[in-house]
Amino acid sequence: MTATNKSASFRRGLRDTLPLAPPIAVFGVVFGALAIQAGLTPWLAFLCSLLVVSGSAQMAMVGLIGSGAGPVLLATTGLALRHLPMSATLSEMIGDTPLLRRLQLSWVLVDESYGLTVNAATRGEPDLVAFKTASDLTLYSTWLLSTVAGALLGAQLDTVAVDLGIVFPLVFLGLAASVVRTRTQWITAGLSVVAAVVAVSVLPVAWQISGAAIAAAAVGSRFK
Amino acid sequence: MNTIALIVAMAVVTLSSRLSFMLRPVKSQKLKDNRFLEVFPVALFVTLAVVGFAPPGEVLAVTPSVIAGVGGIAGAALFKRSMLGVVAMGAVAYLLARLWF
Repeated sequence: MTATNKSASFRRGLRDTLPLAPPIAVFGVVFGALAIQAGLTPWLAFLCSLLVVSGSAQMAMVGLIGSGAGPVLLATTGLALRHLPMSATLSEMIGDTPLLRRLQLSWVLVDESYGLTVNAATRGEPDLVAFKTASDLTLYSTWLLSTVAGALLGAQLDTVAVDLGIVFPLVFLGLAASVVRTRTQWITAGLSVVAAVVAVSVLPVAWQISGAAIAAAAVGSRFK
Repeated sequence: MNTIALIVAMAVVTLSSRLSFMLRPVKSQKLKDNRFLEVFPVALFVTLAVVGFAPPGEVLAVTPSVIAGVGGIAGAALFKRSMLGVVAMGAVAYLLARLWF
């Protein structure tokens, strides 16, 4: 891999991820404020974002912390299940990357940077490691800074009034549109709609995404 | 369990799942040829989109979010699957639907 490729891929990683920074920042501010309102100190809210790096798991923690550690860890496990196939796909895409790099890429294996990296791989990005590193840096720094801002605003912020809107689902729809190619993938996309609707109706929130995505992929992959 | 221990436990669960297949390069041809991995990204993105559009408790209701999803699909068709096309058309559909509802 040449230095030019690496640098160009890094720049494209930044370029593709920067539009996601504002909605991530809003999400981080809301998390920080909710964490304070749930009784965490600003330091603990920051530590949570630093170590867990998962908006959905952290939101689940804030909502369930009053019920004890068990429900929080169960929700975290449900949400984390989807990382198994995500890490397998990413590992296959990055090939013989050194262990330290693999650890670094795993630390911020989140839906957004994963999605952008899969999309970049589909269009033939020469250096996926540089691309994802840039994406991770953007998302992680935004997440940490916005958590601190939200934690400092704390009780002053009316989190109900902050509308996270439809940006994230539209981004994921855009990612799906850009990577779906084969007949099997189209069938899987259709199955995923059905599975997601069923999951939203019958599963606890923490298990909806992992449950629906894994089930749809398991069934969809059987079609040729 | 105190809060710091809970946060560390959450980090261990999350990081373990993220590291599961990342510690070593995928060498197995069987894994490389796995059709599940070929379709999983699509399944994940569609699921994340649908769960995001579906209002809690009224999954089959027609709401501005659902109309945004329809707008996004139209954007994908019109703008050759461009991400910007999907987000722009979806956002316009959402704003129009908010005026209507």
